[in-house]
Amino acid sequence: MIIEWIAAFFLVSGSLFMLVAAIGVVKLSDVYMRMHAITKAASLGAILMLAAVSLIYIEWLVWVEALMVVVFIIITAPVASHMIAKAAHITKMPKGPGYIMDELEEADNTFPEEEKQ
Amino acid sequence: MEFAASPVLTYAIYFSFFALTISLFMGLYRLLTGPTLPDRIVVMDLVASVSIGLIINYIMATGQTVFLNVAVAIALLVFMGNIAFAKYLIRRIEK
Amino acid sequence: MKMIFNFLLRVFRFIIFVFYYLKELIVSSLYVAWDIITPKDLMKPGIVEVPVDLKSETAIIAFANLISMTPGSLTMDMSPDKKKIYIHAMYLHDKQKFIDKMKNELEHKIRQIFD
Repeated sequence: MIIEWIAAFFLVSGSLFMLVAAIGVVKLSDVYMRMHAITKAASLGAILMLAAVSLIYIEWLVWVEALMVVVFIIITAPVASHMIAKAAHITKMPKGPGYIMDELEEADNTFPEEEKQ
Repeated sequence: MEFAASPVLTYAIYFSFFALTISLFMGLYRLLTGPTLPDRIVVMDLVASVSIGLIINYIMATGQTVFLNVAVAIALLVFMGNIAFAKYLIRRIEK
Repeated sequence: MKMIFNFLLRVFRFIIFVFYYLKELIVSSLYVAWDIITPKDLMKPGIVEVPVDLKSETAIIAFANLISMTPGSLTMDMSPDKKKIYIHAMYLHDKQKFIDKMKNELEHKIRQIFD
């Protein structure tokens, strides 16, 4: 009984985090800001919903698969977002208003050696 | 749909389906109006997370835990897609 | 004997680090959610260059991932000689304070475990 209340809370809060990430994708002003919303809020939403599943279904296969998805999301979400942010900065995507500094623009090392060949 | 859960969980599942559908439509808006290509790649990431959520809701509603494999596959594939898109963006500007 | 003790200490610190990472994820998600919901005009985004002195590749990867998970910062790029890291920050009211937080808090934690 109490387990079901906890699982329902996890389910509702996870979907609310995903909704917040979607609002951020619509509302924020440029690519890098949207990346902030996706990397943090959406991955936390997925983790909360997986916790809800593993609370309701007490099977070791469910637990192992949920743990796999959680570990994979935690490891790869920052890597993917930083790859896309780097590519967007190399291709000089327009930035939103209000930027006060950009020290990566001034530095002359955005192309590493391995990308050139 | 036949719900195999208790009333509390049923209402939670209804609400969750509602919120996830709204966030899919918001992603569709950004996909159609996004000014540049990286905006659309960000939407791909969002849609992947939302579809993991939809699969989990379906599991909670019907009790078929086999579909958790699909969540594993989506979590694996989206990372590959992101890396491939980033590489493609860098290659395209070099031409 | 000393080697085993060192190994156990490192494993213990790694477990604590995993919990710290999860806590950072939750806190920064709440920050981002609050920023998105409330209407805002006090955002000061910017890209900052932070010097790194970590040796191994694993430590650098863990540092970059941890930066992406702290509230209001996102790793963007790294210089080819692995000496500087470029961070996109949402609230850049005080640049020196931001760099100090990155160096003293996060990099110190990483160096204890991986380096």
